[in-house]
Amino acid sequence: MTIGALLRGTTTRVWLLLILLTLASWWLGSRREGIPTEGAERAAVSLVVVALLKARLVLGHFMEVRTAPLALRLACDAWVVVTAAVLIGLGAAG
Amino acid sequence: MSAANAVAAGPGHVPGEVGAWTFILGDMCVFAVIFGSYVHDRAASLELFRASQAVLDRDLGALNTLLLLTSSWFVALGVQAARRRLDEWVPRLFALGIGCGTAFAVVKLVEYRDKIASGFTPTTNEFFMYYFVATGIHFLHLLIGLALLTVVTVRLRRRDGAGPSLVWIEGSGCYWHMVDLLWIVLFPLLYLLP
Repeated sequence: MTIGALLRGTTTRVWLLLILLTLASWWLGSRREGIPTEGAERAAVSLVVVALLKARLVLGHFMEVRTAPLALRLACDAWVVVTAAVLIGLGAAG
Repeated sequence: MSAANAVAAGPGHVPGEVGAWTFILGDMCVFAVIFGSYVHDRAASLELFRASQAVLDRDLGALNTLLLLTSSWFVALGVQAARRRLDEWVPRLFALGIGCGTAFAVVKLVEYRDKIASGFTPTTNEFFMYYFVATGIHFLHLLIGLALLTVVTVRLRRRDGAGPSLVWIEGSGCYWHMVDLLWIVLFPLLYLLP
């Protein structure tokens, strides 16, 4: 495989998706003035979910957990799910 | 999955080694506790946290996220290049990753300097305690990651064929991606929550 083929592969597509998700979150976080309460809660949950989805993409594709043994895949997915649940749960408790 | 991917990392392959992953997962759990603690305390002092958060430079935070993601991209490509024996590309890609990581560090230091110059320190209030401690601990991890990548990159340039093993290349890459991953969660929590 040449370097060109490597550059055109999945890794680059995942990187582009991560960049897009980051820009979307940045935009979402910039619309702060005058957001009603429910809007703020929805935005917060969206930000947390997108962040953990990005983390899962890094784990799966960059850290190659997608092709790792089942135990490692489960451990990483557990971290993603538990962290998201804790952040949403504790954040909403306010 | 393409044939090239199947050649690269067969299913069931642990990138780096198991011991490194124990450490990485442990570190991720420690940070998850910090994240949880922050969100909990934020909910209890919402107006204070919101007002303090407004002082942060969201654009610099976003820039740093983009830098670290790009840095991870270069390192991930570097690991794959190593597996495909594109040997001359590995140190180049790792060097690009180190460059982006160093840019992150510079931006972070500029941010710290600006905050401190404006009178905001870790003892200013609860938000700033979290801001400095969380990003500070992350910064230490980043420096360790940069050191690991640098050692691997320098050793890759050896001409006697005694360079780092694939396990070392993968392992240092994984540690670096962890640094990226932690910032990916930290950034919205500190800078973006409404």
